[in-house]
Amino acid sequence: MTDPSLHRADLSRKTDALAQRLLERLTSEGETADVVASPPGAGKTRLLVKLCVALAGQGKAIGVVCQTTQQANDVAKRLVDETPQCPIVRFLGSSAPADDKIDGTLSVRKTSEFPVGKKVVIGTSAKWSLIGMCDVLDALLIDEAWQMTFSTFLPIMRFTGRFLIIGDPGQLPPVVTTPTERWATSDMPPHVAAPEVLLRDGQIQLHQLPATWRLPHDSAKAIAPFYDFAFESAAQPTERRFSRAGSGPLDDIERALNALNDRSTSLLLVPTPASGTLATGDRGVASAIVQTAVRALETGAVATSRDRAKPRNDILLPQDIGITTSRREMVRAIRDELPSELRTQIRVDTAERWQGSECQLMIIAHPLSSVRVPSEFDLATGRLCVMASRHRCALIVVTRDHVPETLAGHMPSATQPLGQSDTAGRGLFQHRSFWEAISA
Amino acid sequence: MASGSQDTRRRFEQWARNPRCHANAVSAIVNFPMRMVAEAEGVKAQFGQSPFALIRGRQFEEGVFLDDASRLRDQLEASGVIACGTTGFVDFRLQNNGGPMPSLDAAIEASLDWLRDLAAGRAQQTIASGLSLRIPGGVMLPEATLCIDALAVRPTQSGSELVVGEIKVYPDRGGYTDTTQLATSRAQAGMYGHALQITLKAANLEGSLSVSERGFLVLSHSGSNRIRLRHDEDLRAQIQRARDGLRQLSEVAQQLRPNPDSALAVIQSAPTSYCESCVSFCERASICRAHAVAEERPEILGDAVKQLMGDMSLARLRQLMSNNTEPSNAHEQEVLEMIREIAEGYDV
Amino acid sequence: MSEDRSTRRRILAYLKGRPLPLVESMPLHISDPADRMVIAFLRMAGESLPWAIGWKIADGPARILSVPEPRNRDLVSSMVAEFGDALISHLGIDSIPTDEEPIPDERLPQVWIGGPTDLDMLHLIALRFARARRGNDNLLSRLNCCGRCCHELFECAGNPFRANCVVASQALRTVLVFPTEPIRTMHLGYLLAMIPDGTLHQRLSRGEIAESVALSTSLTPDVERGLEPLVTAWSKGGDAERESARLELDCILAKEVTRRLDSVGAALQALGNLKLPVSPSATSIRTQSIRALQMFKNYNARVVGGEPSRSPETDHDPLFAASHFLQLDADRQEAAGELLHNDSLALSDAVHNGKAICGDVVKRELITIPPRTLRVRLTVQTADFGPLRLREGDWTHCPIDTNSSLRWVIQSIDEIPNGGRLVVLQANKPLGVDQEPLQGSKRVVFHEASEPELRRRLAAMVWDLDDRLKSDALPSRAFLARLRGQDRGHTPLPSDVEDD
Repeated sequence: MTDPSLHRADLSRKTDALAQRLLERLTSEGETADVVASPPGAGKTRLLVKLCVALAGQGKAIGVVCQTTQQANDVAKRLVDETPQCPIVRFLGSSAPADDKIDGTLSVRKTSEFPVGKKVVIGTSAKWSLIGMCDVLDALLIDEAWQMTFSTFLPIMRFTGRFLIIGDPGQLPPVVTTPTERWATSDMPPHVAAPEVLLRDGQIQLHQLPATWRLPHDSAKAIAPFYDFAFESAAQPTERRFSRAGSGPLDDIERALNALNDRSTSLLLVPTPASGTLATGDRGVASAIVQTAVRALETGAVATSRDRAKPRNDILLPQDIGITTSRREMVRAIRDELPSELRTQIRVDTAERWQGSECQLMIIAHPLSSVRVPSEFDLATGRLCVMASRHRCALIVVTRDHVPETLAGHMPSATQPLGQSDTAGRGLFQHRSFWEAISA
Repeated sequence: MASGSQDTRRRFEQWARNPRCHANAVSAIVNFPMRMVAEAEGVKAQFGQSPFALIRGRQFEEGVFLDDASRLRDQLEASGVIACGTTGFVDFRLQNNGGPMPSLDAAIEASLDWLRDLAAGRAQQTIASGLSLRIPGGVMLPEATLCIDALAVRPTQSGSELVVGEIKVYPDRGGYTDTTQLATSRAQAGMYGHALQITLKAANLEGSLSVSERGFLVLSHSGSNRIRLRHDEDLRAQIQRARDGLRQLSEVAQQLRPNPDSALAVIQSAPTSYCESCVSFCERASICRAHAVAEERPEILGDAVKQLMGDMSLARLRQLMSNNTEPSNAHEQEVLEMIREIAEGYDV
Repeated sequence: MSEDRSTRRRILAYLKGRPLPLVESMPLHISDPADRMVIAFLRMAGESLPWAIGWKIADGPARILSVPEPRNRDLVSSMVAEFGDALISHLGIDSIPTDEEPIPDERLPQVWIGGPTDLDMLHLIALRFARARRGNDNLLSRLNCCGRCCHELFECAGNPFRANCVVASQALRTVLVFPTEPIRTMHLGYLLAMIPDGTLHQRLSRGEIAESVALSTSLTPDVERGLEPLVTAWSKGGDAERESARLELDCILAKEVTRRLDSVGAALQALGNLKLPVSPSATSIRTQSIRALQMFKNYNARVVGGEPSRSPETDHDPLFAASHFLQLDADRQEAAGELLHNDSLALSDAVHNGKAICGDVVKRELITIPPRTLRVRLTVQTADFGPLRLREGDWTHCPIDTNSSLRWVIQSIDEIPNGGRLVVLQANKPLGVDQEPLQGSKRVVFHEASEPELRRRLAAMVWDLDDRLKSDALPSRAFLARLRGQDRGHTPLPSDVEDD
């Protein structure tokens, strides 16, 4: 095994080299477009911030496009922390409240309020796409680009000829509720994630961030099937550990928690009753999830990270635990099961809401739990990928025990439009690979 | 296309449409058509093909391969499936389908010879029609045969790659093309791909010949005899589906071990599992549904209701709603609460 | 409505023993009989184009056309051209408008068809004829126009904010939930059989009988087997035999078409018998549909003048594709918002789906937006209905607001420890003190409203990129030009369809 710190140094070098290449591209003459595909927790926003600082240092006027207000605020705050030598402009929606200001930034609502000269302007894609005009920018950097449709990207082509498009291709695609049959066989479908469409143009360069810095080593391998490119984990085997000071009665929950002594993923199977369970709000699984969280807290769980500059042993607090599920009714069922004192401390939410966040211990309800005949929605892996990639220390997957049988016996129908990828079929393979990894 | 090959594929797909139904499985395994079971139970068959559809299908396919498959070649070249300027067409279709082969056995033998020649570099054709294969090992039948509608051949570094194509007469409507028909076509192409892989392996030709995981569909234009080719069809999962499905069916056959001599009785006594998809393919669906209606099982309201209610019957739910009894488990309680909440919106 | 809610309603309909309403008022616009054209198609198995076409306007007699051999392209083209003339006349396409204002009497010429296969047929006619280039000049221009009209109707049927073309089975499913499997609700006859009074068992039995009668564009194999000798006789027989075969075919096909037309008529009757009040959303839909028809007339006139017609398959140009997609998205948002706004059943679903909040106003304040704008801000305390789909930054609308353009933007959502939420909403417009909304209101509902006008603006901006590209006013000019001209190796869509 390679020396972990040398391994991380090598990864940092690769990331720096990538940043340098991108900087050169963004400051070159002519039009450029680069896509950076990133595994989860690989530092894509850090890369974006670093490039903004470097470009601003060269006197450039840069736009940053984020997908949500929260993401935009996060980027703005991180830029402020880097103290770049230029104005940081938070480009707000017209109905944003007056008190919605971030220290160290200039809040504006109109392009006429942009400062002249070098600057970094951060706004949401909704804001950028609707403005009439602004002075041409030197470059636009788009964060979480796989959450943005191609139709949202097109209007922002008005502002610059140089683009950097960063995102995570394994996670949830943009939510589209409008029927899209008309464009299913279009060369550049408007409803598909912008990077997917842009990469059909052979002249766009595709880069990859080399590693996840968030996930433990074996967790990175577990989610690898969800990606078309290889990536590593900065943390080496055993550098992230989950341990406990005490123990509980020797039941399935205890066994699932004990399994984390040797690995970062664990499986808790709940027997499938003959009477049936509700896929939407399975109280049996909800109860198992909550009991697992409570047991972890009561038995003094500790998250150890040896891959930091200073190794840490953090006693797990309720806010270090996250719970997620693919279904809203399940969120409700879990919250109902939580003891009242933990309801505002342990975050329970759907995968969509967990995107962009992380915590030490993640407990998830497997998306196929209680689903006997998986649909295309169930087999889509974006949700599972998000759910299984939020943790820094440990992941516990809770599910009814029919899932391996369901996965083995399912024969997918290929109903995708002509010429498109078989997402249901591929999703089934990916689900099976993930299951193999966590149940090994 | 040989009736034997249609039979194999049809029976596999029949089973795959509802693998949970044992009666369906037995019918597919022993090749006792469900139509005959339904007729024995007094139900007149609803399915069966239109005479016009059969003629149209045959004519369309003949048109694809006219003049040494020139129409197909043009589109394969334009799509980049094969290189421009390629030549060579070999036809393994039976005589009653417009081809030269006198029998299925002859077609199978000629097909295997051609594959060997291809592997050795002695054959140069880039398009084949009706390539006939026998799936070895007697998975479902003593012999199981398939005829591949169309095959394109392109060179690789180590030999040649075979690209499976499926010909269908329904029209290409872009994103509006019928998804059920597309799924069926791809399932068939997947079965061909899998059969081809087995054949190459059994004949030791894997070193020089490989099967592409991307196939093509040949569809029609609305109101025209022109063909519309769609290449780059993702068949990987469908090839795997065929592999997994045949293995599962073999296991089911081992478990059930139905006696083909008393097939009717066996099927009639086998457990059934009615679901929404039965309506579209099974001649006995109305009988199974009638039983489900009589027992007030949730599947009579569709798969989503079945998923929600599990084994709980609608009669039981009615009983709970009328407050005559208490829920006997958490599942019943949850379902009851859900329906009560919905009922609040109706003053009925 | 989410699939989960519709599943539960279906169970309830079964327990009640009858179809249940999904809405309180009719969200569909149904034109007066004089403005309605009911159409039915038949096709031969294996063929894409019609074997017979029938239509009926108001209470007039049905006009039914058929051909003895639908594989004869000339015969089919003539039939479709004649149908096209009637369709064009009904829609008023031949009257070229002088401007884009809606026609003053607010009447919408409407097309009604039975089910999804009839809708498919509209698309198939469009695919075949909208861009055909070969054939007799007079026939060709009529067929092209017919194809374009069919394409427009096909697209309208898929747009919830358009009522130019309505599918009867879908209309019934929009207003009623049926105690049966979803697959059976595709059959119009089955739906119609479930509606009249009776026990559940009686309804199910009627439904079973009804669905054995074909109402799609396909004939049953039995019927086709019976027709085969007639078709052969027409194709190969002598004059007398041909004439006899033709008459018999006409008669059988006319009977089949008539049954289908009558079923659509019965669906209209059934919708009328529900006696639902007309929803304001239906009125908005009618207005929008009239505008859409006006725009189509203008487009049609431009095509006649030489502009290329839209492909019935897809938009290949990325700008046009994106613009149309955004337009459709805007229409969908507006239709969904209108429905929520005007129907308490739909609103109840939205609350349980997390797309609306229902609670009490606990605080009102005035907030300053720099430099001097005042906006009303409300804090609403809601009970816990489960996870919320709405989030900070979303736009909402309150049904009791008298100001229809007023929207409320969610500023924050905070969970209350013992259950429930505090949601802060801010008005999107400055309001005078005497215009304070919801004055005196305590219990309020705010539903998802989205921003259809913003989407439409975006659609227009994307469309305008075409002009900007031509005028060289884009910094990403080469990039965009390349995206538009990229050849990805698909078999090119034929610009004309050759007859074989």
